[in-house]
Amino acid sequence: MREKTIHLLHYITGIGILVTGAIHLATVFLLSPYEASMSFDGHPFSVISVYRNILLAASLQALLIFVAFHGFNGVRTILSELYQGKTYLRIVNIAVTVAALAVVIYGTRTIVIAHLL
Amino acid sequence: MQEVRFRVFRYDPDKDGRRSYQTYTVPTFKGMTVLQGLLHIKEKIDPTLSIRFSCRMATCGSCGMMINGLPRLACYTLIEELKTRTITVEPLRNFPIIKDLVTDFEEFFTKHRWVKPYLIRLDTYEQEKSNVSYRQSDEELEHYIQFAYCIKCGLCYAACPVTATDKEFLGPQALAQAYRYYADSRDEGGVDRLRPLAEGSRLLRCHFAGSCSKVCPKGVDPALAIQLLRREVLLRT
Amino acid sequence: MSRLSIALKTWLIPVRYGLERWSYTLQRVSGVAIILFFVMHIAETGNVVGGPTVWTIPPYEYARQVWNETKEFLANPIFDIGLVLLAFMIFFHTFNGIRLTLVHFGVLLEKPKRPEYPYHPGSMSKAQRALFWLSIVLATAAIIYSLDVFFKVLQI
Ligand code: SF4
Ligand code: FES
Repeated sequence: MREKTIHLLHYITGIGILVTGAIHLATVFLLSPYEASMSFDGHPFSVISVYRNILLAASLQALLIFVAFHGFNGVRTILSELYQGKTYLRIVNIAVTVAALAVVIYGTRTIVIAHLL
Repeated sequence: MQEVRFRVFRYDPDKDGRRSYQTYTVPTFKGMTVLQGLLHIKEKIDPTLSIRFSCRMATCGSCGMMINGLPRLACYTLIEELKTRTITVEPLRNFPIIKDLVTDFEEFFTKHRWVKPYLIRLDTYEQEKSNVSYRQSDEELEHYIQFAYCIKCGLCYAACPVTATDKEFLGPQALAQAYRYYADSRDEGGVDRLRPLAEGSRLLRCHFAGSCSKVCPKGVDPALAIQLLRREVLLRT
Repeated sequence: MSRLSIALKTWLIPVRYGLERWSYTLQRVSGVAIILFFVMHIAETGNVVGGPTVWTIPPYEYARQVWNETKEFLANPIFDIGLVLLAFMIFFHTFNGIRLTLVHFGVLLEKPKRPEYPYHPGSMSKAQRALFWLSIVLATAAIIYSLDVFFKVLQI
């Protein structure tokens, strides 16, 4: 990808996190007491209830992808500012992509299975 | 007469190549600049000290150095205004050191040249042969004149936390000049000037730390130029 | 190695260069803190369905039990302190991020002008600096709120 495209995606995912992250924080802290949101079931916003709600689960999935992109792109930026060797930069790119994908895959598994549970 | 102590960075690759600090005591007078202090050392105390200067009036941009930790022009910094009894002078950060306070501007000027710091015209015949001048309104001039005040002193380059480690980043000075020519109504470079800047670390590594504008002795405000340039790059390429 | 020490020094010590440099350092530090938390958070919430080895739908009671054990493990004041600090980081990074996005498009900055001594760079505009302080205020409010949630000290 061109650096400019990545740069624009950094802003776009940032705005996406603002929306989906606000929903996430609201379900955990504002819409129900913290203890209730942390319990496995039994409350409207307890752990499993949130995952079973298709809209909230979709919002979590979006948040996962946005943060993974935004965060790991930040890591890539920092690492690319450290040193500029060609091989080094290629290794950084691959490592960061693999790490982001791993986190997204693991997180998606949690969301999908918890939704079906 | 008041005295100040100069703590001066010393380095001579031809002697022992060791980096050290040497302290000199210098008598001061009202209105004395750091450059005058250094010249006093060179003339009266230690002729081996190397410094670079020329105009003594903040115009040539040769005398940039770290004075008490900030990049400043030695000829433009009054000893009085520093308000310290000991003045530490070091060569500019982010530049290779040649000797003592003299730094190597090769990379800096290469980056400056890289942004094509001259008017690009589609009709080059007119540019070289014509005896009519390009017309420009006052308002058109305002778009870039601030950035044309740059004296290439390298202070912004020394202050920037990105240039410190990213050699691909063009640096505040070159990027400000890229915008200066892009924004000039007589220039016809247009998107062709922007396209190379959309790639890699050249422009987009600026994180708006603002340190360049903080230290610029001519009020050029490179940070502003870079953001205006980035808007064009993001929206037009 | 000297490259690394230069990097850490210039990135992490913002003194002398003014407010925008502080914003730069804080944004970077908070970003790194958040991504570290994010990875741990994804690992930790993986226990909702029974942990890293579970890739098909597990028995409901098993998942519930694993989650309750995880919750007990997480009920540790050290983690709570981490979350309180993280509340600051997240709120600062978010609102300063909005500020930076606007600034990167030239919004909030003054127009170029003829430089006249003493110089006032248009990039150090009031609007842009006000947003920086706003993000500090909101981040501090987030600290206070999370102290209340995690330690019940304030009883708001
Ligand atoms: S922009 Fe200012 S600090 Fe940078 S080289 Fe030009 S005059 Fe010097
Ligand atoms: S000697 Fe020319 S700028 Fe200082």
